Amino acid sequence: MKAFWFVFLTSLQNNFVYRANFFITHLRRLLAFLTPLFVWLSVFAHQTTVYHYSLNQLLTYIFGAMILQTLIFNSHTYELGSLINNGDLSLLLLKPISISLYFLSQDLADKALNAFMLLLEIGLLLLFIHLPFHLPSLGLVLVWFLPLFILASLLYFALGFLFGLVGFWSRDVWAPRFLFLVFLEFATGALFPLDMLPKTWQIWLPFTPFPYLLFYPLKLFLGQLERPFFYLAMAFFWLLVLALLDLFIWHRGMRRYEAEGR
Amino acid sequence: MTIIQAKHLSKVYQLHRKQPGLIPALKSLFVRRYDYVEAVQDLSLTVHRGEMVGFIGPNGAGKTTTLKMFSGLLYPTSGQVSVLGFDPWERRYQFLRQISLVMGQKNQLWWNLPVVESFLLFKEIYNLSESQYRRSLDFLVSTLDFASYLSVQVRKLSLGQRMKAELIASLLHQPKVLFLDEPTIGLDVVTQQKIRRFLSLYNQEFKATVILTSHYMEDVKVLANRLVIIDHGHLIYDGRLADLVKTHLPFKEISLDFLKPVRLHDLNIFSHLKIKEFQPSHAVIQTQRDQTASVAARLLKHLPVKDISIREPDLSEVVRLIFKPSSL
Repeated sequence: MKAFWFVFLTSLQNNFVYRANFFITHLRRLLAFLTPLFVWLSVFAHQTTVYHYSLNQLLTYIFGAMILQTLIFNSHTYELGSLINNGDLSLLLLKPISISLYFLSQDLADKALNAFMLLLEIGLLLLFIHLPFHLPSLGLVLVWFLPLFILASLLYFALGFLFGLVGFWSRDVWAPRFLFLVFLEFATGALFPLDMLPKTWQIWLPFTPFPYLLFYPLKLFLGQLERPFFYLAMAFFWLLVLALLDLFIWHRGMRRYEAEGR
Repeated sequence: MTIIQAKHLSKVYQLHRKQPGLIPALKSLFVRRYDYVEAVQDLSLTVHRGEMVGFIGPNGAGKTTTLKMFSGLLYPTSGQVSVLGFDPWERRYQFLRQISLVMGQKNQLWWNLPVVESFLLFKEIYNLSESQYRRSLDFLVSTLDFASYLSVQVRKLSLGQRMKAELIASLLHQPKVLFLDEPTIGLDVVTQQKIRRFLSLYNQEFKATVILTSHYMEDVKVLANRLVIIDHGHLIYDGRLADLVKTHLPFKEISLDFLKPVRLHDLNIFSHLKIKEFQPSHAVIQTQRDQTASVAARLLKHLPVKDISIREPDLSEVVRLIFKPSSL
């Protein structure tokens, strides 16, 4: 385990090398939040609820989506496809270390740094703009939200890994991933709450892994999710399915791996 | 003690063939033609503990592919390979803990961080104790004269320094089996020599088994006590370097320096000699092995010789002749 701790620390250090990149990335995120904020504030100027959401519930959702996207939707697995294609995966394969845990340790370093920076950013934002947010009880956060959040992060990791594995069969790893990311923004509820969609969509969406990444954790945070255990179980089920799929495809892919370059 | 055992090893690659130009590129979006290339064919090889094997052959001969199968990166199309008693492809912890593959053109170090950070990470990955790490690092750093670069960012290192850093990173865990793929590529002559000296020392110090591929014949000549030659995926020679020279080149070279200028015509009076180099003050000639002594005596008698030396032909000459049989 100490090896992964060192991957975590080294990865963390690597984030601090380019100072301008570091600060501008975090500033960009802060500014990105302002657009949906003003859109929804203008929508709520003439009404008190939109699709059963009050202003503070919707702002909590949008703000929460931004935070969760920052924490959940980042993974070094996006490098996996190109590592396979250019043969640099060999350098990892030669080390006595689990590839998935190596990536996961790097992800954790990014998430830890992002979480810390988010605290600063949120503090800064709330200093200038006073917004009404819905805050749940600490018990709900610790017992239900936190486990669902961890499962969501692992789900994203497993999905990212799956798309990286495309590299074993195709050189075109960016296009499918790009399409996947666009689809993900919509299907996870990052753009708007999924219960604003037509009823037919809402029937089948729970049976896909996507709403478990963002929508259900946020609904749980808002206290609008009945039977939270069901959603935890479903997220766990999807994680299991995707992890097994990753494992199966990894072994198939490794037989095709050409370890290009020297 | 057998360290590497390969039996009838083969590897076939699938290649996408595309005609040049835009139209074929568009066509390839829908229809693709694949060819199959047999990179390694029916290769059988046994390597014992402490051996230093020079693996040579022209580009595309299958050298790197073989090393990659030995180190577990590639899944063989057919045949079996066992390294240290493990099937490399299973990537067992105990196997990976005892091997290293150094690829001259790949970078395993963290590009933006000081070199020592990568070393510390590898210390943990290989689960080295503080004393093991210190001992190993001190030996490697002092032998390769690298101490002053430890806190320099990898991207700021010169090619030679980076190769040294790669070697240190690959050897920190003191692997029992070392695969070296072009370890001196692109380096200047002085650095090449230093790395050769170091590899030789490492082999003696740790009784490590080393397989080395190189385009520099000097690497193989200085380091390897056994030579394996492959061409088009086939093993065509496996034996001692000296034996190869004797069996494939039935001649020796006589190098002559003259006291006063001689004419080419003066040398031509000796029949059955092949003149390899000629200048009025210096010449190199090739003669049949069994006639070397008598030819040398005649040369000394008839020409104004200042200095004479008899030597084996250069290894690169042997290899050139092996791969171009028509020129024999």
